Amino acid sequence: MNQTILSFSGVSKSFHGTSVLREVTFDVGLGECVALVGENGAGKSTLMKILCGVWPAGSFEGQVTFEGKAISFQNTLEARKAGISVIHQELCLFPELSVAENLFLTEAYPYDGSPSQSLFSRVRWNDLYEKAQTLLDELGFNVDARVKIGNLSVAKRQLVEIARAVHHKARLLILDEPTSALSATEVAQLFHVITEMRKQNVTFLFISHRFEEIFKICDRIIVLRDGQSVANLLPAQTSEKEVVHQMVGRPIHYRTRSQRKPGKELLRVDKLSHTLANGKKILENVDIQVREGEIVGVAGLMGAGRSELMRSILGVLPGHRTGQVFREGLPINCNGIDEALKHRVAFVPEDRKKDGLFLGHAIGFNMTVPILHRLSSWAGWMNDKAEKVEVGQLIERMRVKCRSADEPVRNLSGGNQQKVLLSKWVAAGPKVLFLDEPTRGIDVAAKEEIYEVIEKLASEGLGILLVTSELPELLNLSDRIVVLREGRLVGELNNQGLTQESVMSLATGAGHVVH
Amino acid sequence: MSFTEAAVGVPMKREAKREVDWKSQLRSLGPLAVLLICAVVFHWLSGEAFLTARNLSNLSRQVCVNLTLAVGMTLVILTAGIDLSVGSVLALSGMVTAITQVHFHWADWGWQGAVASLLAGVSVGGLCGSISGFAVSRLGITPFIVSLGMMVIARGLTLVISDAQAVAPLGESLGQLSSDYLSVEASRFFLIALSILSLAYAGFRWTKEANKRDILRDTFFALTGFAVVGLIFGGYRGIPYMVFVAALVAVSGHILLKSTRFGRFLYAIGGNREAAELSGVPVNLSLWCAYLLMGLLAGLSGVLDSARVNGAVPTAGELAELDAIAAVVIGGTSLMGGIGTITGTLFGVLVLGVLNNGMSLIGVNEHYQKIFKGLVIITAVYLDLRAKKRR
Repeated sequence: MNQTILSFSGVSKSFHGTSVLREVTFDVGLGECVALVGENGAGKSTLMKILCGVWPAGSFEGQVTFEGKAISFQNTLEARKAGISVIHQELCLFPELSVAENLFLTEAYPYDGSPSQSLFSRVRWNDLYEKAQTLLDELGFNVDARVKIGNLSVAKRQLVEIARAVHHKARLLILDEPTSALSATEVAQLFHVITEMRKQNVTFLFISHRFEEIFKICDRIIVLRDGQSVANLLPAQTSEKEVVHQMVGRPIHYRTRSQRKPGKELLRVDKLSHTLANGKKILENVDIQVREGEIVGVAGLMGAGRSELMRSILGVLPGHRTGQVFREGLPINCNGIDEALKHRVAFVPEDRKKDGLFLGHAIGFNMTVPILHRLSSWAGWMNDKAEKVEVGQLIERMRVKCRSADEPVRNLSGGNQQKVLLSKWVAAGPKVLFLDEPTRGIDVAAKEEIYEVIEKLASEGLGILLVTSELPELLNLSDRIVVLREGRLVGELNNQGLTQESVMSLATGAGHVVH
Repeated sequence: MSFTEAAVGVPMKREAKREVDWKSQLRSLGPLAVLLICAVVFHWLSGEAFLTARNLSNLSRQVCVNLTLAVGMTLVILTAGIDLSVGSVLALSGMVTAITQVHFHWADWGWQGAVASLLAGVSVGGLCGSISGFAVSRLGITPFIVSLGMMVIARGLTLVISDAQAVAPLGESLGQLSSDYLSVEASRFFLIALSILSLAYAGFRWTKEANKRDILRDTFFALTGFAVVGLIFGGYRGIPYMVFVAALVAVSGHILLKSTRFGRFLYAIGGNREAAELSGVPVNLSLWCAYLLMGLLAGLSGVLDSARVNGAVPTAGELAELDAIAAVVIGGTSLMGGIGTITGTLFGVLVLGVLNNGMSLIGVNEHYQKIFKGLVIITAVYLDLRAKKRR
């Protein structure tokens, strides 16, 4: 390690008597890329919030030194001025404004990084675009400064965020789960950008759940557990297993994929094509079959039409659909979730906060929304007792950790929220279950629990269609994998001796089609 | 001033953590305390004229129209919508009722004619509501715009069918709806019957439920409530028919939200519309129903209003939508949807009613009354916001 740029020494913080950080101590060198890993609740985000000024100086103990000076930020603006920027997991950009406006939002003129003093100063549009374009070009980002953010891919939006940080003369960039929504090529691009920027002595703190990437890009791995910095590992001298061990404090058993015997056909999709309202063909002649007690994984890059496939079958994707769907041999035509439910097909959407849960409402409320018809009389009267029993059983069966069923879902950890989301659909008693990214943004131990639940459901005879962008997860769970590329089915693989590479080469079109 | 009971969850009672429970229960009494303090202050300022049976009985009749509207408004606002048209729909329904009575001579048919006029008025409201509901749910137009349009349309229709003239007087039967009372004896009998029923229900619960404390609390509040109502109406002419109607509406609304599937759907839609759709909630149908119910209730309040003034004027119900919205919001219902209760709304209606009545009683100039009312609305919502944040 060369010269130290950032150092934590004995940093502690507690909320209402519960300590979330305890004596965290580690150093980061200039131009390094350091991974920060830990389970949810280990204190990663609290540490980041101290760094970027959300928790002001004085609200924590111990010392944080940045560029030789102890930090004393009162708010996020001061942190940004000092040269520390965070690229959040959920990007903070304005989708309706152009790239240039997003870059210089608070500085109508003179675009030097300081907030504009005058509220009514004139915006010099040409200068604004020109200056933004220069900034992006210098960084080597292929982004048009005049385009609306909403029209950009997630990967490009991230580049805009990074450009904004560079513009604010950031010398320390904190990337919070930057790759969770990127395809493999986009990840490679991002890593290229990181490597280039490190040459100019920009330091990176990389927060991620994806070990593969951490091992590829990071110089060091700091492990947080229960608010303490428990390990400082060098990727070359450690293994994924060791890191996970440090994170959870005990060795974790990876389950081997259990052998299941698929039964009769539950769902068959025949030549499904879907054209969006804007004329874009998103799916073309897709054939898929799901059998009893079988997990079928859908592989493909971002935008290959994986989620769209599910939504199209269910009839909740706008646009025009052709082709036929058979449920146990009978043709069905779903035009919404309620119709699909009648055919006992359920869908667990990918974005649990946006599409899945009622965050402000109680756990019980969330679990029973799809099955209210079963918990009420024909006239719509609720049977409170039956509901209470049902919710109690679900909480136990899905191992949701909560104080009571009245607790708002917002208070739960990501993993537990996901379990609530799953139980909601398990309660509906489906025969076919569609899972879209069932473990996004949750920690290792919680993931294992979710896997167990999914496998248990399959062994109970459900047919499961699984979409996930994490290949290890896909290989770990699926009995069969179908690969989509640009809306077409390009391969169907039996999951025996499959490797990530063989799936990836099909998904990217690098290899030849295997049947 | 927080009256929302933890955003309606599964009604499960928590056995553990008694102290926390006590605290939250004390807090839920806050609104009652506010009402009592207001009442005492007005009583003192008005030279002891406020807390009399006669005045409180009048007050109860004054709030009936707003309560009817506000119950419907709660349903709509729970879905993160709004209905600005209720004042105009009230006027239109009231006018239709009056026209059937006067120009169609339904007044001559006695109580059958009154019922027919009432149904006509309510149906017109329902029609307006169902059109708004259609535009909101099927056509996907913002509720604000839809109801703004409906507000102007209904007002215009009122002026057209009435030729911009007042229509009066109504038949005797319809007038009785607003001006008549259940006799004092009958009212007492009714309240005693209710008390016995609630005791019997408590006894039934006692054998079934484990949590005795809740049963005691609920029964205590019910009996106290009946006693207070008995004191007020027993001391002055008995229970007004209008109060029966409005109370029926409020109780139905409460049950609808608390213990039916439809109620759950409304909370779900307001809480997260996308998730509701992907949970198989019939979003469009539920939205349409909410606006339909709002329309029916606006129609009903139009009939009540006409009955009260024994006729209809085309300017009836101006700004009534604002009073209804204010009551709902004071009651702790979130304009973002998903959070709110009818009990909260009842409190909001009473606060506005006490203010109106109290200020008139102590002779505050009508123009100043408006200013005070506005200040109270903002303060009440601010206090509610603060209480929620602290939790």
